[in-house]
Amino acid sequence: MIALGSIALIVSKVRAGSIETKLDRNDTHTRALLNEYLFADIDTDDVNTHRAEFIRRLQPYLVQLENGLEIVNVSRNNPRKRSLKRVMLQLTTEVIGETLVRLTHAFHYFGFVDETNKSLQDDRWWIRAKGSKNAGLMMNESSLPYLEKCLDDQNDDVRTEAAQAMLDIAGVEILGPILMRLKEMTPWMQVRLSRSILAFGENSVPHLVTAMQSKYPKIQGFSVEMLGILGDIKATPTLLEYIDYSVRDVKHKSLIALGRIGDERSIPVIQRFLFSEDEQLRVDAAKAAGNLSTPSMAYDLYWMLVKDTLKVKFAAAEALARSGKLGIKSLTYAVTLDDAEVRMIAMQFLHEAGLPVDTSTIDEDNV
Amino acid sequence: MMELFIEFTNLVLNTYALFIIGFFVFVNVFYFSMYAISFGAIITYLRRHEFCDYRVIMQSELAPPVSILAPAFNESATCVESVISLLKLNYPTAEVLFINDGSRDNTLEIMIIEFDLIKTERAYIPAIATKEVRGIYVSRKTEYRNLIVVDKVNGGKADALNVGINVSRYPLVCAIDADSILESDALLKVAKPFLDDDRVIAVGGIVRIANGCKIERGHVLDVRLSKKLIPSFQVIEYYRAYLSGRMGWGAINGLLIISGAFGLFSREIVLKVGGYKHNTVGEDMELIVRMHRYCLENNIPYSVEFVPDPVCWTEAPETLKILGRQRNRWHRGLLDTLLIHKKMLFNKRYKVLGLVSVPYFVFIELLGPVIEAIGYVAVGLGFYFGMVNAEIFTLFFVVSVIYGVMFSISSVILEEISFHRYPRTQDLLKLLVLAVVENFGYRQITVWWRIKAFWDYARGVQSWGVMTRVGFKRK
Repeated sequence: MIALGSIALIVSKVRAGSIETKLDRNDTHTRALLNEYLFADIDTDDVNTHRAEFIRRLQPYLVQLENGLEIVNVSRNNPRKRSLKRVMLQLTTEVIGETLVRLTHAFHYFGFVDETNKSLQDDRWWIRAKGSKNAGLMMNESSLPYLEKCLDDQNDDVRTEAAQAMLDIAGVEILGPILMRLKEMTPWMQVRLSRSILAFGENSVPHLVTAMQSKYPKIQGFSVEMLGILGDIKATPTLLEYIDYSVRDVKHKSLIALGRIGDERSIPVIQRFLFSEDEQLRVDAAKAAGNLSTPSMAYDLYWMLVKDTLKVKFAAAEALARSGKLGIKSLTYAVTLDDAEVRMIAMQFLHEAGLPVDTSTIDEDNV
Repeated sequence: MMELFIEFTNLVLNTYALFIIGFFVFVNVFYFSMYAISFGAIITYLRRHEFCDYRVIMQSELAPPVSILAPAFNESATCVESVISLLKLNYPTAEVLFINDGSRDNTLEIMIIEFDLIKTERAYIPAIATKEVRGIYVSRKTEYRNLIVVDKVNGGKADALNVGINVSRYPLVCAIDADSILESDALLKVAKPFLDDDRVIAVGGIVRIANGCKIERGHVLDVRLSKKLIPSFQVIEYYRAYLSGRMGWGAINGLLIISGAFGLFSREIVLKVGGYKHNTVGEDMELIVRMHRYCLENNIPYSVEFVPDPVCWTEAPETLKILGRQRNRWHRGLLDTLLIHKKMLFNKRYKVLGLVSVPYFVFIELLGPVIEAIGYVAVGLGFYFGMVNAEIFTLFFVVSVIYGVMFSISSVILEEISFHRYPRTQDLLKLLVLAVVENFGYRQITVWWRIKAFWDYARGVQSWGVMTRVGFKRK
């Protein structure tokens, strides 16, 4: 058994190279034939207005491709058909415009869309996830109802791939419905979706604002975080309205978002949170105050630096370093205090801000 | 009188023989169960891997920032290469904290010159008590803006790591050995479980042996098996430990060890448990056990994961003398950790840990070498007194070797079907031959080192032993 296992291992290792070469050769041949179809000179005025006519004209080229690859009436597991699917999926990220329309139609013509839609209902999670991923690449709207069902899937990867595919197919308009449908989001899903949301830019703001009404804190939190990253001041009123009614984690993200947006309308709310009983929220409020770079909170931040917990002291000192002349003066004054901890922290942030520590300039009454 | 003695010896040897057979069956059933779990976990990992594009994490603002802690003591031979490798890691937001633990060589001077460092006024406020910090340095060069070098009074690796945790600013801390080299995507891969599940508190990555590989400027350019026998034996051991062992333990949330050479932790939980313990040589294992305990005792949902893919390359000992010191230290660390947390043994409050992991580590990992050594002595005595049936002994010996070889080859197979990092067929052939050869001599030497560790522990030996490194650069 050991000998057999070892021999099998060595043989597979030796064969691995030649199998890879064969696959590459197959794919090169497929790509050449596919290019003839994708770049065939077809007379069309406008793909969007005469789509049916355009598709009709594609037909002979598809038949030619099918014959060239000798895949008429072969099973979907035929190596040449698998090669075609692999090459087409690779191309989806490389082509745009009319060529992409040709490619999308080819997916439909060769039955890959139906195959994918079927795989979205498979019992095995990895098949559903792969199906979702492929559906997104194939950009076929007929997959949307199946993908929507996948948003409730038990498996995190299936949900993530399905949501991403829906965004790829239907664009920003479907962002709100996706977020309102989801009950749970892993940080990985957030990372994935954030990429599309950033690409949509300010168009996604109304959808994210809608998603703040979700009853699930994870979805609310993600929407708030993305609004902060997008930094659109249109989001400020909603963020201010919801902050008091949210759970702690959403409050925490809202404060960071308000800081990032930097809208002066949020100053009173941020100032209020500087006195929160929750240490983390005080840290967040201090960070938000720092991002706003306003001297109006320097006094409160100074006292946080002097009196608060270590974690808050650091956040307050960092915020002071970014709060203009008054903030810098407060930090410089803190360097003269007896409390070694406060002194060290103040020195650090003055140093990091590239400022020399010159305590002779301190006007104590002013501070 | 002599007859009575022989009868008594016979009884003892027979009882021990039965015990050995039972132990042998139990151990092998356990190993193969763990192998089956590891196999399933690797397949799941590979399936999930298909849906992960690490470039997405690389470009994301939502990826949790990481502080990389590299403690160093007399690492002048490798420190620059290692730090360059760490600074080049692909990760959106990361800082590298190089902690010079009072090196007696010119490690700090080399770092200051090579990275153009200046002393900074950064506040050092120890959340975990540590030895005195002499200075915190940053680089004047913008390309090294994420590098912070901390110079401290010598206090051991645990103390250096605790200083790093105190200085770090990010929610995840990655502990590595300063003489290790991480692959460029290693951090992205090891951070992924933190993105998959909010409950993850620690993730361990696979450590591979760099001896024999071609390395330049902190990058592994060509993966090869060492021409020397001792590092090559360790490749098989690492396969067994990581792919067939830790992968399975991770899958059942019973992982007790995350290698000190490469692990990523939640800073918050590490701070809550008080950081690394100073007076143990197994500080990496002890921390993980304490983190498990903390979460279980406070009913915090958590998981400790192992990822088989992110690669950390380390220089393995090339001589028996140095390898012996390392294995002795590892075994003392294991013994110490298990004694500190003896309360967990068969304690159902600690779930998988108390009922499976800790008993496994006590009876198989810790006491296994003792049982094996007694077995060798008993066989010797048995032959001397003519009490051993040569046929049965031969059968048992052959079966036990075959099981050992099977287990080693299974680990090699696991590597080949998953990551196959050694591209050459001759390296694979060599590994398969070594899987057989290691049973004759090498295995017995490692048993002796581990037994000696009990004696050293009883004598209160706390030293790490000098680990002479050749250094990657000189290869």
